[in-house]
Amino acid sequence: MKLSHRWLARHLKEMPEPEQVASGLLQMGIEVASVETWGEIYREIELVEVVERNPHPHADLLSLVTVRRASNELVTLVTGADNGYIGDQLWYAPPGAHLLDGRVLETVIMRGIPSPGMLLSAAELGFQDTTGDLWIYHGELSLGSRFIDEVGGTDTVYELELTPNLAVFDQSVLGIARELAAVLALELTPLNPPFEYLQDPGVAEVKDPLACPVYGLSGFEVAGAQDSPLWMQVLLVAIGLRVIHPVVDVTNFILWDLGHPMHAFDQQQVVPPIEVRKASEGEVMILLDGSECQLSPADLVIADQIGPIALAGIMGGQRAAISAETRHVWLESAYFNAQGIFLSMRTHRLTTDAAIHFGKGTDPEIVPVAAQATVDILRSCGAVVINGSSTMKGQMPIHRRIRFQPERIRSLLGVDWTNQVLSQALHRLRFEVDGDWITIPSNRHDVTTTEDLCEEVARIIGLDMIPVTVPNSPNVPGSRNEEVEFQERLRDLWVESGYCEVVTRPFWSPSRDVVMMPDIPTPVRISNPLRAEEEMLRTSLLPHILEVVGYNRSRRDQPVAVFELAPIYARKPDHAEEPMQLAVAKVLDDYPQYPKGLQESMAIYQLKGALEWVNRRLNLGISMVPQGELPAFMHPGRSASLLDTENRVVGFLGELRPRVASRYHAKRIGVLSLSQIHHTKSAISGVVPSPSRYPEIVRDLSLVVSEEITVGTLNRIVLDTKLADLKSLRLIDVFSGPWGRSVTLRMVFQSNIRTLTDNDVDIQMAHLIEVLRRHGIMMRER
Amino acid sequence: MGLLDSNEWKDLCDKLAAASTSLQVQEVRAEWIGRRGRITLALKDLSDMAPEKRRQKGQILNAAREQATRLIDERLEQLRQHEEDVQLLSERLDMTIAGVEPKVGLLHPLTRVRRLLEDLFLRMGFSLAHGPEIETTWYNFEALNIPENHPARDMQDSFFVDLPGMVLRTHTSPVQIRGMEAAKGLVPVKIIAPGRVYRRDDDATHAPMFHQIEGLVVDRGITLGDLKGTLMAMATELLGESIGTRFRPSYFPFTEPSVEMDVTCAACGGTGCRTCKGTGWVEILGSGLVHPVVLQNGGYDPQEVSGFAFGLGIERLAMRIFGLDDLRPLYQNDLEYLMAFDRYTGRPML
Repeated sequence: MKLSHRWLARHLKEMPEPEQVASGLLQMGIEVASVETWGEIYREIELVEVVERNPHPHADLLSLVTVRRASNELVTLVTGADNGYIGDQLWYAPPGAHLLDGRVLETVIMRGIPSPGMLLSAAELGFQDTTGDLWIYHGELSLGSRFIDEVGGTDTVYELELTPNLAVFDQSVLGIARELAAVLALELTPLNPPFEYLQDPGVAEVKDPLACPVYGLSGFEVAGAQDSPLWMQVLLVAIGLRVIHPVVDVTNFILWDLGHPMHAFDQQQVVPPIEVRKASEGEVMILLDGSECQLSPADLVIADQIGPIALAGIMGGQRAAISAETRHVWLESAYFNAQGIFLSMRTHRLTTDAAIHFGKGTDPEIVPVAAQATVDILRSCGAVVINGSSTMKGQMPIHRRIRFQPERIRSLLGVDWTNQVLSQALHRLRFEVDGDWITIPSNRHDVTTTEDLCEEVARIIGLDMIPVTVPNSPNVPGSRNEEVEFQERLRDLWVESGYCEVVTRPFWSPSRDVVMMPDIPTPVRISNPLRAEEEMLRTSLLPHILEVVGYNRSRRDQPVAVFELAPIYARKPDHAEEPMQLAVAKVLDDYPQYPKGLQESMAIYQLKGALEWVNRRLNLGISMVPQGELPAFMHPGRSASLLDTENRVVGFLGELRPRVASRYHAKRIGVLSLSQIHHTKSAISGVVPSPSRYPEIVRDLSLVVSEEITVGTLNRIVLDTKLADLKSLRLIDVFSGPWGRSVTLRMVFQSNIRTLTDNDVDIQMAHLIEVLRRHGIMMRER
Repeated sequence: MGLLDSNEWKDLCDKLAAASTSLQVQEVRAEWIGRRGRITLALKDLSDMAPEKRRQKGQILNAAREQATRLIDERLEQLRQHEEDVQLLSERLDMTIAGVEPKVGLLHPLTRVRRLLEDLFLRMGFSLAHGPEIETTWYNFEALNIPENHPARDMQDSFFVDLPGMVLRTHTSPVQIRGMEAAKGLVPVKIIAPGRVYRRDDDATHAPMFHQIEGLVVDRGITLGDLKGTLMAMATELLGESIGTRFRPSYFPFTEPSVEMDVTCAACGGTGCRTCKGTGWVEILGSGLVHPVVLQNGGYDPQEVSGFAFGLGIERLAMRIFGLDDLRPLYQNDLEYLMAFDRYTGRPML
């Protein structure tokens, strides 16, 4: 909401400085988003007098007007205006002056004659005057005066941001003035007296008094002046409104001045009595903006005996709209039920200023005050107003009363302010304490409880005045639960393994699928997605991670190693599940670097190794098996299924098929997808082996094995042999020759109780070699 | 010296000096103290001498032998050192080439800031609580005193899903209700709830998915003063002793009274600049006393207990800590951008 400082002054007997206004608004919870000075450009516009007028020698429709400036300097301009003759005083924008639309004036040649600057119309200054093309001045200002003097100087315009609760009563200059009067202890200018409705019969009927508790309708004859008074134009223009016609301008003015929207109908177009009723099913009306509105019984309408003439509190209809020919007007001033208006506004998506006010709730007591203010203004500008018949239907609602509970206010705020301090504070906001009860002002629909009163007290006395304390409950250390702690460790371990954590948005669409994930759950669909490619929530994490890989690879030839631990979303019949998934991706391509890294064809072992390390560090209990069902996009020779301790498949690890990897701008990408990530309790082992004091004996064993026997099988055979003192087993070489595949294992023997001799180890090695021989595995000969 | 005259010593020293390889030194060794070396032979000759003379001469010869051995060893060591140097220098590397840094990843900046906040609140006695992202409209709206017709429920703001009565949670506040339900009427309830939330917005300062941390304290006699004290302590912990705080009245349907906390603008230090629109302050969180309706919906009697709640945006805090003006890159996952966060060495340390 825009607020003019000058307008504010109409409601306050003494006006605070703009800085005070800003700090007062801040304390009351009203945010000042910006402060601007209005009217600067009017400093450049000066009053001149026409001393000569001649036809343009080369153009029939143009004239040469010579004006005298205050310095007696004569300036001749080219104009197409019909008016502006000798003796007329006009507003002149010299070269260099700025116009409202941002143009900077200069000397232009018009049909061969230079024209320095411009003589202005009212519209060019942002105002309205219907007497002719140029705005002829009739006032007292002397020649050379600036237009800024005519509009009363510059103004400060605040852009206010109101929270929804404040918007109930603060969406007007009066509302803001009341807040400032309360917080800065200022006196308000009294409002004008209410309009005296005549209660004429046959004028208006309210069929739904719950939806419209108070309805005032008064008739006028309008004639004479076609322009609004300049002071009102200045205020409206300063807050960015266009001036159009006195009747329209005055309703706009009252709307922002008192926060009370009003509406005027052309009497000639209305067949009385006017009814306030719910629309019937299927009823249709054409609104002021020309749109057709399909009404339903949820909508409140103002109707005459023909049909609806306005969507109550939101927008008028075209049929009874005010026009230039309008002479007789019905002026409506009403109080509507806020919720009904809000719902209609939302249903029809008509967020008019009127609807925004009525939809929040207005002040019923302003109904007759606003009506009288309208009459006063119209009369003051010479639009002759003859009162016609009028009526007001309904009763003013009685003021709401709630219990005054000072003890509770004190205990919620944590203060020791006396009852007197509290009631005085509330009194400043027009809440009246009377013994155990407190009366709520008629416009404060937002206040219903003691907690609401706490807020009022805190606002008016100031949040700074509330002492700073801490809760006195015993301070016990907080905790994360084990699952969350575990997830954090999992993130840390992947980071330590060289992978960068990413955060992707969970929105997805099948159109983005490059890889078809196996076993995906039913997706949760978004009813109102921002874009088509975000129409559902993801059912797997890996595709997101791969998009991250593709995005980075398309930008630069750098290694990519990323992971994310985040939920996926599975739709169940009446709810959704959000299990966590882990997805990891690493580009395996060799890239230009010195010194060289691990060769491309082996790089998948880095991802595999990282998982093995994480698996060990967190007791994930995962085992990897190369057999089993793997997704079709995985490299069949370089992948493994991941099994949990109960041999259920919980994910996979390996290389993408190069054809798939190329979609992400890489030759080879290693990926890992893991669901059901949690501590495997059965695998937890808290025992750290004690170090042995005795020396180790190392033996390397080079074996020739057939292609069918994997290193995994070989390890299994060795470990199953259960050699008494074998402490560790490590693969140190694999290579193939014409004689088959050679595998070299390094075996470390060590005892915890004595020093081993070569003989001890020889015996164990001999046994092992014998076992291996039975599996067809021989020692390699040289 | 006796047996070895000065010429002989000079001869030895010259030969050692002339030797340029350890092999040549070994030759000198053989010549003097080897099995057929000059001193060795002289010592052998002693056996033919009279005991008195033998003893006298023997002492001299032994001393000479020791001396020669020492000189030879010294020269040998000198040459070995030299030979090693030559060898090692041939292995010379260009030590100006950048080293191979350990391949370590980095946590996402939002994770780092989230953990900073979590740890801070854990120290202040808050426990972590979590709730689902696909939330019922009851928990997300009604239970929080946001009735059917509240503007926040418009399609514009919330993502709805194809599950009836469910929505992508628009804030972490539903965990207030869930947290109170989990506490089953016991006090104190003291939780923080970090998590992802969703709104239909997408620009430089609004993302359709972002992260919040919700806080809730429910106990007997909780006051607005307690709220101020707790949040000011948090701000000091988070942003340093010198940080200024101020509270402004605000509005949230689920708190009454509602307040927002501002802290001094990081960009200008409080003097006013573009970041803070000239005010010197930037908003950091929204909070308030828990609305009685919300307490009731969580299973607590507002006449018996009171509470305060607050919510702050992790992105907004991350923008402040890392000095960012656009949050979209945080979700673009450009690794060059994400890894650049390893250069952050500011305060708070994280």
